[in-house]
Amino acid sequence: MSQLPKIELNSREKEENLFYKILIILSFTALLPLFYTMVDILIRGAISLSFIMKSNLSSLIISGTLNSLIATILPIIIMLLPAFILLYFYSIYNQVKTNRFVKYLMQSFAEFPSLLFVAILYLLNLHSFINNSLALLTIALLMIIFPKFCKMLFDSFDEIDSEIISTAIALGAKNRAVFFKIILPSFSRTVFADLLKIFALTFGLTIPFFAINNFITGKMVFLQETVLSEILKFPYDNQDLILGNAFLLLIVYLLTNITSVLILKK
Amino acid sequence: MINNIINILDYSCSVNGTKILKNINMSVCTNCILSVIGPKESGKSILLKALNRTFELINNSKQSGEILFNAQNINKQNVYKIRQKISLISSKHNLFPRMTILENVLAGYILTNTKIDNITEVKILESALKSVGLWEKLRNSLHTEHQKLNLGDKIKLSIARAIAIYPKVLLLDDITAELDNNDKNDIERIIYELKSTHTIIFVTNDITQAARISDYTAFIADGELIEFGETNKMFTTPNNSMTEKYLIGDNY
Repeated sequence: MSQLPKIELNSREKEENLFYKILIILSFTALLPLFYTMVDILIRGAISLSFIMKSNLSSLIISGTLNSLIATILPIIIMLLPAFILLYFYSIYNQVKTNRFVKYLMQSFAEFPSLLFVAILYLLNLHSFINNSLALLTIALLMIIFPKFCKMLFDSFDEIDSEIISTAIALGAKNRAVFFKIILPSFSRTVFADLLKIFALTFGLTIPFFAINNFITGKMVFLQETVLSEILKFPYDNQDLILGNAFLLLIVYLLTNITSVLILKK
Repeated sequence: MINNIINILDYSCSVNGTKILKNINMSVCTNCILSVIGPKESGKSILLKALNRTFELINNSKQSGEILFNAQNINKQNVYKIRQKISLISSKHNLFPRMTILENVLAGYILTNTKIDNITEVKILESALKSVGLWEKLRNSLHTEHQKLNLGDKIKLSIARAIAIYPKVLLLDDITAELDNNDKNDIERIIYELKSTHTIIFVTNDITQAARISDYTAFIADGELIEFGETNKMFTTPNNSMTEKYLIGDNY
């Protein structure tokens, strides 16, 4: 049987290949917290099924939604402006120039904070430090979602037909006009889908913190007192609520992911 | 020299150390049509990018020599104004996807934040669309998206977008390459009509097209200007054997 000829990569392709390999490894490492979360949610969600069968479902929905929404929306709001500022500079460097170094540097940079966070999370057992502190949890979540969102934006930008951008420049447009009038409108739908994905990821990530925190302290973390007292009126202990919460969020996570895929498909 | 709107003096350029254009010397007279012909990857499109000052955006690009526009070095003038005065239309129509037909025609103003009143806007729009023969067809659908237009009309719209900003020179980068004969004839007629108000430099791989509509022709191969002169003369009695071989379809 004749052997297929081996395709020789030129140095540029080899360089790109190496960068992509590094990026893939980094991406997988950065996904560890997500896997951890998913497994955690699956186990707790399965256990919680039995509780849900005999629980008041509305109490689970209220506690789950309030707990996680506060912790989810806050970092997303904080990251939006810096992410778009970074995208602006990324788009300027990559409009017509093919400055691969800057591109790879920025894309690699986007993965590093997640890697760092994983190290801190696993080596120093940060869960206990995040106890009762919305600020700390927000910082921790930002470290995960900010780089991910940036990378999503960069990838979306890379998919825009560069000739459209070149045409705008050839018509005499300045960088700022190209960014606001051509680039942003071109992928507004993609950004929306990316935001949904980030929302789902953050929503999922908040669960272990709540669950672990509740096992340790035995109380709810971020709920306002009035809401907390309402929830505590129900004759179920906090563990039930948290487990129900986990199950609910698993469904939300899946639904938001499916929605974002459907939006992208359109 | 006085009648020449563009003078290219000993112009060379390279990307990543690879020379793309080598010592080009050429003049383009006002209100005439110059066609640039040559094999693929010979540097024709790069010449247009150099004239529009978008070549300098390519990473690791270097240039030497001078390009004079109205006897002034284009590299010493405001880059954004030069890009508007010497307007480049690329081979794909590249209409902006999130803009309506009206916005696309007026994109040169929208993207440069140039304020124009409604009356001027309508005048510019009407004049640009009439120049490309689309006014009657599109006047009632200016606020719709351009996606439903056929390729020929999209190319015409991209010409309208370019002439709406009143450039002095139009650079056309093989814009008829993907068109059928009818649309190709239409575009050639438009180019010929635009000659009265614009200087036109167009790159084409179709030598019969160059013979049909251009006053002057430049033949470029491997980044070198092999021959430049009046189209009739070049096509009947070329000075260079390479030109002759290219024109009759032989390997040179």
